[in-house]
Amino acid sequence: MSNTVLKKQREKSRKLSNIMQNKALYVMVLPALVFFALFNYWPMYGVQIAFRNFSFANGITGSKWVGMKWFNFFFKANQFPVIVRNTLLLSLYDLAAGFPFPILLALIMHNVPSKRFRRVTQTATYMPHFISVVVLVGMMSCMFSVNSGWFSTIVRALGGTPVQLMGEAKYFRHVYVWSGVWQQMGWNSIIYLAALTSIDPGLHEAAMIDGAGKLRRIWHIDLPGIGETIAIMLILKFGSMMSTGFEKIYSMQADLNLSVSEVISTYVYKMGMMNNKYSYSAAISLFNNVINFILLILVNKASSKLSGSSLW
Amino acid sequence: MKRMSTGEVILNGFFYVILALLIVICVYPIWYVIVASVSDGTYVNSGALILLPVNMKFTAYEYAFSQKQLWVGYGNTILYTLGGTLFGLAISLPCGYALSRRDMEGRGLIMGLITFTMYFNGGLIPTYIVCSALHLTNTRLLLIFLGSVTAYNIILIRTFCSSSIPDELREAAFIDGCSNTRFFFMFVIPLSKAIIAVISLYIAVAHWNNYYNALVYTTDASLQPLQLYLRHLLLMTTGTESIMESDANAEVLRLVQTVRYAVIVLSALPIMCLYPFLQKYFVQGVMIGSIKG
Amino acid sequence: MKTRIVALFLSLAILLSLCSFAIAEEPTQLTICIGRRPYDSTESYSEKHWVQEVEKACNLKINWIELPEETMKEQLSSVLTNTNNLPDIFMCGNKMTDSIVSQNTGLWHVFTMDEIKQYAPTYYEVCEKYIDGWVDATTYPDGNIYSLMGSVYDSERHYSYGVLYMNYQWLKNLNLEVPTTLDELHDVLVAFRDQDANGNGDPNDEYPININLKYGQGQPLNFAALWGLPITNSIFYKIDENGNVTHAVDTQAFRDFLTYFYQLGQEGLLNLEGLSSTSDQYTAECDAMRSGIFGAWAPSYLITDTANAMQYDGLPKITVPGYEESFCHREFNHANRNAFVISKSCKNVEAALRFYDYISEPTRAIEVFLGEQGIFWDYVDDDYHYEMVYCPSQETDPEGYAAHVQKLIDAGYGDYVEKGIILDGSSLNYYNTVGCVDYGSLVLHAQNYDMTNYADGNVYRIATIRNITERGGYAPAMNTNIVPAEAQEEFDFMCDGLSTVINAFVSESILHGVTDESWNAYLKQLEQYNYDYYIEFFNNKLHNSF
Repeated sequence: MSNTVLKKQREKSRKLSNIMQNKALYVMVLPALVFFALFNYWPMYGVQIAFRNFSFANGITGSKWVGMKWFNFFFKANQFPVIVRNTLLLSLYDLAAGFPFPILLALIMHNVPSKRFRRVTQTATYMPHFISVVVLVGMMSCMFSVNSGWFSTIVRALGGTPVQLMGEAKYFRHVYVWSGVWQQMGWNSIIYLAALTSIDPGLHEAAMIDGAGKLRRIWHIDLPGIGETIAIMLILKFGSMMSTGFEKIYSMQADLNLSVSEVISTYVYKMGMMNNKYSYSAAISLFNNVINFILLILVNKASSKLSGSSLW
Repeated sequence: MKRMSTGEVILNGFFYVILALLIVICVYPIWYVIVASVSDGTYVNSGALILLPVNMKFTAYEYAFSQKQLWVGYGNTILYTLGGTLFGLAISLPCGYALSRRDMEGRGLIMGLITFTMYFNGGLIPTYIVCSALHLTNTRLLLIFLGSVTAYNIILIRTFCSSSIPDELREAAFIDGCSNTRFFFMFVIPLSKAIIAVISLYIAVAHWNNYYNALVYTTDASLQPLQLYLRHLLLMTTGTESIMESDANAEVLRLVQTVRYAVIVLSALPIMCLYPFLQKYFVQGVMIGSIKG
Repeated sequence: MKTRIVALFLSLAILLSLCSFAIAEEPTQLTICIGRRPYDSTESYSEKHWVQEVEKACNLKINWIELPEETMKEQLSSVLTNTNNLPDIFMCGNKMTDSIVSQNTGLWHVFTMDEIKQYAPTYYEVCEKYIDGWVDATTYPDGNIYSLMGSVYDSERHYSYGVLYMNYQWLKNLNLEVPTTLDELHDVLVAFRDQDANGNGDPNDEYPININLKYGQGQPLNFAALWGLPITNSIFYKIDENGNVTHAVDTQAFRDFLTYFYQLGQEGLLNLEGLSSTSDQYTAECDAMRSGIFGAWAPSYLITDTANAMQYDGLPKITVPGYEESFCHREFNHANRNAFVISKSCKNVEAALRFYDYISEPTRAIEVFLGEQGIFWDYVDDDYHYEMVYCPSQETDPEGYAAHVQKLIDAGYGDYVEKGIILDGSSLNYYNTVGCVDYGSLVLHAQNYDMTNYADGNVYRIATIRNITERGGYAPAMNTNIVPAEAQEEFDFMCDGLSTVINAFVSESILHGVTDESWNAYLKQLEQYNYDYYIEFFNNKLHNSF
């Protein structure tokens, strides 16, 4: 009994002395915490909008309390099952296709002997990130046009029959995901490139002396070296399963592909367009975030067990 | 230089081919955008544009450059980008480093608090009310602040620091009487050049591309960044349901079609040029070895 | 010396009296939140001629909060969020929607009839004299008046949605008669497809019918009118001869229409890519003179070259056996009931009303709308019907041209002239936005169209609309009554997704055809998405019986 109390006390004093010793660390964290407190935590009282019938006139705290009304509306909405399914499928596909490529690209770029070539590739692959969605979709529409696009011309020359890639439902996910891979691959590889620079070159030298080839070194040194970054990025990705980009999907939507392209974000936009449904949008985004957060916690736990990397 | 084995040569060759292909498929669209911005919109949209400008004209640029708001926008954007990046780095970097320290008491809690903000926020209206209470609406300061410190960036810094700043180094330094603050400035910052470059890029690009904050939090045209102005240019004809919806006549439509491409050239080229400058920080990593040795 | 002292004394006296005058007549401050047109070339509203005039006449100093039209919806929300510091007046055109007004009644000043009569007598008179039922039109379901009307009342151009145009030159090129029946139309389309109708040497680049889903007026549903269905991609009912709202998109007529369009697509008579291509592609195809029949506001809004645009004219009446044509008719009354709203924060309601009253005088209203009389527009009769003024061509009428330029310079538009912009009543005026177009006071009549001036694209539109009206081709219009908030909310949730179902079915059917199976599945979906409720809702709206 007294032993445990003593232990606790000792533990406490150890913690305290640690904190005193590392005061500077807390000072370093403080400005960020103040920032989050002001711009993120303070406005959080507004979450109650989701449970009220918000109007400007009555304000956040003065609007009528309606409880779970908006959530019930959402769960009972005709389109609820369809849009949740579409959102998840699109996110999963995007994750499966979009996640590995930046890592591969970073590994390849990092291991190209010519420094100059490496830089040129980096800059080139990062540029598509800056093309706005409207223009990207317009470009794809012109290139893939059955009537006049050069892509269709090539397909015809090869003996195929061009199809409406931009319209039909069965192609929507592929076009969306792969154009995204192409556009974001270079940009997303930057973080891995940065992580690669922190790998001790000594490890490579030692491995080379042991006669390890490049592929083996990539596999045994580079990949584990950025393992933590990969794990964290993956956790964060899982934590945004329910949120898909809005603008690109919206621009790619056509009546033909609505059965697969209507997702939560586009639904909220269309609902919000009518009659300023602030409370309804707030409820849906709260629902989304709760799911995202739960996913994040689960994946984080799994990751911490499997790889030792975790967010907290 | 050591001699390379045949396998190595083939592998390198393979890498070169892949990257060369990537360069082509990534540069082509940029080229396309540039060429389209000086071509006739009708030809662009009928698929006639493949490699070279068709019916070259510079109307989109002439129009954009004739607008005073463009230059005001450029000035504001540069200010917000610079200010936001410096502010963001100054706050995120120490925070990220501190949280990477496994010996920091309560770091799990703080990480949790920070991660939480990625998922839960009050939404637009409460945030607006708070900013208004802080007397920050319609100010440049707010546009510098918002979006410059994010949980995401702090997590990235933390992850980087925890894997690239060896505990042994710190212990050795502390034995020599180095304080936390001193260690941060003397060792952490020099060793984190790569992540500083990445985070600067992230914040800078986010600020450069952001129009939404300005749209919501300012009504004063003199505070507006480039992107908001360019957005107005883009949306010019789509202000539908207007009683004058008819006024989007063919010539304006044509103008807007090329303006769309010119906008990318005008807005993205400057920020694209940032990357090559930051790249030189990506090939560090020698230092750790030398310190350890 | 003496004279000097006298002079000094005198000037001092004048100065003093001027000062006291200024103190006595301190202008009233008003803050007005107003929309800003995309092409507005003034730096601020305070530069506008009409603003300077009204400030002087009413002794006002107006502070403008100008919200660009393209992003107005979001910015208006920000302005409204700041409830402690609202502008005095909102002149936000149709962005101040019925639902914003009715959901936030606590924010607005409630107008009383006495107040309107007393402080806005001109507005009252104009409404009484010209607008039937104006009181009802601005009274909200709770019985209050929160807003005054503005914008253009009764504009003929807005009677219709997308209007269909056909290239008559192509008919001539191929020696074809103007079609009057569906079979004749089919023959024409086949000829367009097989021959080089546009005469550019390529017989294969013509789309006999072009459509586009992303271009508001290019919808395939425009053609459903030939099958007696006045529907659009957001209106799925029709009003029958008894004046009741009835089903439209689950009828045999609808199926017949879709089946026919599927046939057209299969025969290569319809540009199927329009189901997914961008509106830019559509515009480009029309501009390149590759479309035989297409939907648009007016041909010149898609086709740059005036001579090319003039090859098109409205689609003639095409009879489909068993059906009577019925085009979708927009609501009649286009005055904007929420044009002028005073907020609770306004300290001087009288001044605000007097301001609106001043610009409600019919001639001033048009000047606020379009710019100065005589330069941009002029009356054609005593009843406030007006016509646009066009600057004479420099080549054919150099004197008229010089006179117009002089008028511009005299009126203070010298800057534009220097820049080479010769303002007149043509669409150029809307781009430079000398007036304030959508955000002004009540204009009584739409412009009188000079049917010979083809520079104005609206001429085609009006001509076609008049033609359809004369042959009785329009379905009755829905009214613009305000739906009570609860009914609207219930509707939004009951019928959420209905338009998605219908529009997806339209596209799917045009591309792949209608089978019994797909039709039955579709009918089941309509039931699931409460199509019956939808019809009932609009029936209630039509009869004002919520």
